[in-house]
Amino acid sequence: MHADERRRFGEAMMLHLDAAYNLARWLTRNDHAAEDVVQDAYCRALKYFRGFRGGESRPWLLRIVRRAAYDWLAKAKFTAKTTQFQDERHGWSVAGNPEEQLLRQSDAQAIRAAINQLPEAFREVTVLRDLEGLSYQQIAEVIDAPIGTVMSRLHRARSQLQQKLLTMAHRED
Amino acid sequence: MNCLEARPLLDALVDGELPTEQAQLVQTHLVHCPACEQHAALLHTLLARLADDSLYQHAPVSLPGRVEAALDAPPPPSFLYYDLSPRMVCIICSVLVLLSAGVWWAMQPDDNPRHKLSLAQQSLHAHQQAFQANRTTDFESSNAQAIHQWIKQKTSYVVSVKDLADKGYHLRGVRLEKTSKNTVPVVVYALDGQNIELYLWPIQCSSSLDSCHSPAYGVQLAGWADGEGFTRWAVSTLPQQRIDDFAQNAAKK
Repeated sequence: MHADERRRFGEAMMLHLDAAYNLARWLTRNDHAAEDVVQDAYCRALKYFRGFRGGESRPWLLRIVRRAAYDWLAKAKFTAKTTQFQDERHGWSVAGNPEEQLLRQSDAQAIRAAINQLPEAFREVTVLRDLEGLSYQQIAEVIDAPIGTVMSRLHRARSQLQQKLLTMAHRED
Repeated sequence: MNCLEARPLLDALVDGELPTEQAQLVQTHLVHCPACEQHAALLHTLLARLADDSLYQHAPVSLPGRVEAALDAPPPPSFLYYDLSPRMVCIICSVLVLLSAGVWWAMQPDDNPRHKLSLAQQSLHAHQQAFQANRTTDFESSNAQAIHQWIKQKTSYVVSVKDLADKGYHLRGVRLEKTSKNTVPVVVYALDGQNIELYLWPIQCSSSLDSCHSPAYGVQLAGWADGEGFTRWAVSTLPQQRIDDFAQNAAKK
């Protein structure tokens, strides 16, 4: 690889190391694995960098990180927990003030546990949107799915998160 | 817009991802629907909790150095890149050794006279079948170069075809015989109105000139290896001496 290309890669991609690690860590739920995945993803990204035609580098890199993370999960045989998508409409529970209060009181540890319990497909959109702040369009590029799928997964992910947090809060009471 | 339509859009509304017209419709619904309004409030609360910076997993301090080192490291050998298990490596090595042995064995000249005679028997059998089917040539030509090209096109064999017209052997054409293991071009010559079929077996045998005859079928054979990787058997109802003469002329370099 040309030294100039290597330098440009460093300038464009090393800025997103935190984002790469954040996504890898949430997907693998393992510190060491996340570091391995990020290293692997950066090596892959360098290989494909010649095909990168500018534009937004963070979604481009996160897409590779996501792929590397899923490869790691498959290798570690964690895929037995394959997400079962349920298309049925979730029941609308009307949340009153007490529930909002309980949700407000949820500490970071409870939220972390609730996110970790989400199926991978829901966890990744939550991380990409609510922790990384990516637009729906960018998320669609990262997960290689239409925007409608992003919307529907986010909606279900957040509904499940609310339910889990409220269940945890009730249990503590 | 009713609740069933509005609820799935609340997330996109809160995220500012709804087109203006659709956002206005949802907002109008929220003004008149306390239940959905409460849902939106709950969603806002959840998003505020998710904004907690402690949820963000920052890269360890050592990671940038590790990644930079990996990027600057020479690429690993492709063999190791696939992280093969020792068992898989053993299996691959065994297969490679067996394949190499097979290729080496196949390239060895076959000096066993019995193998050469077996080719004679197969030539005889093919000759008999072609005779019964009244099949002489697939491609008629008296041009040696044209026959050479035809064989090359049909079988990818590069095999010399001699024009022996000056010796009285006139080329008539060529056909292909297919056995379970080989595709065998058969070049057909004519001498005094009688055919001589020359079977070109893509198998290397001993180079000596051998003759034999089959009283049951009334045919004579003469065979030799041509040094090009082929064993040639001439088959004809002509007398043995004339077949041997043909073989000697055809085998001349």
